[in-house]
Amino acid sequence: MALVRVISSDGAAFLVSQRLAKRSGKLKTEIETFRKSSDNSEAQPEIRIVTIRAEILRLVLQWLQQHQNDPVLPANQNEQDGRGDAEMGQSQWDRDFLAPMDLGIVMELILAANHLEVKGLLDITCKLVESKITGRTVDEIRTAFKLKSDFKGNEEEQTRLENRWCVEN
Amino acid sequence: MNGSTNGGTATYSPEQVFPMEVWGEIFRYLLPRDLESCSNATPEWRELLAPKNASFMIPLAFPTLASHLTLKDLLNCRLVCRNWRNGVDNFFQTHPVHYADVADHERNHIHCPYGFRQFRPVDLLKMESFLEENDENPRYNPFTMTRTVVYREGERQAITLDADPVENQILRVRAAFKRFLTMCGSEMWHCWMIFTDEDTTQEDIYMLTQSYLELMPNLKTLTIGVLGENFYRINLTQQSMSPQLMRLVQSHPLPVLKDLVKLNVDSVPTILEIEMLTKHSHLKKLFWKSNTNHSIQDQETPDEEREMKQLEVLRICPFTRGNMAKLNLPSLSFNLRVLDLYVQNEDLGSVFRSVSRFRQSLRYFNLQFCGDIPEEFSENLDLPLVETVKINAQFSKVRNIDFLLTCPSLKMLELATSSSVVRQRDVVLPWVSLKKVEMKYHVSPSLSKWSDRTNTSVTVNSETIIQFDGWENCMYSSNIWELLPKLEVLKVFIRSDIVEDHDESVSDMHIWWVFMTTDFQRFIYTKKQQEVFLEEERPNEDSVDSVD
Repeated sequence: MALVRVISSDGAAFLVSQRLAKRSGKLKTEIETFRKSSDNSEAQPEIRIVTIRAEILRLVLQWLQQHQNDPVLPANQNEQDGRGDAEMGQSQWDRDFLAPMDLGIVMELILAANHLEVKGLLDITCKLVESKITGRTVDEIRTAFKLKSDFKGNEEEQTRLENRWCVEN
Repeated sequence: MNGSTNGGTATYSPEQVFPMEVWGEIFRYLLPRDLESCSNATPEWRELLAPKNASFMIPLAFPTLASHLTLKDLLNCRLVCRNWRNGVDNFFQTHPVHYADVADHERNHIHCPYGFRQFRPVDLLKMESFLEENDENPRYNPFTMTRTVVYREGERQAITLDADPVENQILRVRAAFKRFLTMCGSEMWHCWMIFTDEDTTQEDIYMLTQSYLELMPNLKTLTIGVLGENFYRINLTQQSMSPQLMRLVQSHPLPVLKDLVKLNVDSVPTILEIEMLTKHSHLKKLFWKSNTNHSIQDQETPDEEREMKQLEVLRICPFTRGNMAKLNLPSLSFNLRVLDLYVQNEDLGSVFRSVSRFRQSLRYFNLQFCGDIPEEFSENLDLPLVETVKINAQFSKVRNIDFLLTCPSLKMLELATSSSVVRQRDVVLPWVSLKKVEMKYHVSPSLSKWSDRTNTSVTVNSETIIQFDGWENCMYSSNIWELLPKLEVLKVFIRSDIVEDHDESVSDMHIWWVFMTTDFQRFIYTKKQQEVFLEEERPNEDSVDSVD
């Protein structure tokens, strides 16, 4: 089985089958570029992802492995409203996969899925973050994301007034 | 990032450089993007930054998330913490396309894909209380990433908000727009101002323009238009330059917009026209639609100050001697590349003589002509560099286009004229450089070969006519493809051989037809193939001989 070495920003290497890696648009392009530039067709490609750390990369690969037999979602499917895909692809496994995660990690996953072009993972993570923001009050958002307001003085009030530029007319 | 010295090889862990608390202080001042890089740099930093994860990650994720969130959600996100607020602001500023969604949250309110801010009277009245000069309201507007503002004073019937008389409401609208400009006028680069002549005198329009422009010093493009009631052209009757008006101009001079590149004036009062042109001699593009057909008093004295040496694109409608004098035309002759004229009932010969002044630079000439061309018209359009000529004389009789013979570089010709007359004599296409020919409306000329035409001065020998006036399916057999070797596209109105059952008058049926070189080549290729095929079918006598 042809393998590929994927190296995270902090130097951890993952040995992945090429078939699995090619389910990520980014990795697929990288492997093809490597094939073109390399003389030896048997050489094992090595891809360094400088923006994703090991912990996150492991999660992405884990998700890919679970979903390796799913049909590949076209990248631009349902782009107009960006909704709907997530329900289609979300399984019980996905819910269990995301449930214990900190929202900070989920957001890192969004960026990683976006960078590696893994549409299915991007959909379910975005959906999760969206559900924590849509229709919530500011305080609820802060609690969900474990954030504290760091506005000083009347800064928050000022921001509230600035928002009126968008809603007043 | 992991502490390597500049240009050296030694590396330090961050803690060897500063204690972790100091790094923590430093991180407070970094942007989300940098924080993300830091968190990837070493495990120590990541641990230090972990609690901040959700705060600095979301700004990075906004562009991806945005399509899932509504405007209200996004505005709520601005209130969560500073990092989130910066993230949302940054998102709007770097993705201005989405701003259209924000300004246009009623969706079908305005259809503007570019995200400009449009102010109709009703919009401004709705914003009125918000724009009040008031300490509570923010001077800083985080959402003015748009550089374009559209101000329309018409559509007054839309004002139904309160019981105030319409005149008062208009005053309030103007005040509100002025307050808006005080807040963010200096950020505007492109502006449309559309006035109406309803209850508005030319003094009003001048004064309003003057006061608005003073608040938008950085404009690059400006359109000022005056529309009549129901969008008809206005008829400002008092166009005279009274002493009172002159005093007004002196006491309230228009500001000079140093960055202005393109000016579009459409039916504005003469006083504003003159002042705008005098003040902005550095314009590169001028679109000038005048509502006065007759010449104006000051035409005798072209102003020396009005030397538009940098002008590259000029559109004048209508083109009259008065307008030309106002522009001080000779001073334009250096850089003008594009000229677009609407000529009505002027002597075409004198127009051509004026246009020929631009012979050293003009590349594009568009003429809309309304009027008659005399039978023995012998003027030439002397433009040796012009590459595109479009003539629209839909309602006039153009007997021939011999006046274009002095344009040897012509690559594209578009001609629209009324039909019957042209057929009597021939339109000549002598330009070997022609790439594209388009005959609009009912022009169906016969084309004759130039070299033969020079020999036969008046009448055209039928032998030399390009086989053109046949049917559409014969067109690729025409010799036009050889006579004009560079021709790529030929668009003509031509008799079609498509027979429709219900149409009895088939022979009169003309349709638009586009002929392309590529198709011509395919035609030639197929023809050759057929010839080869026919030859193969024939018993080859020569070869039989040789075998024997």
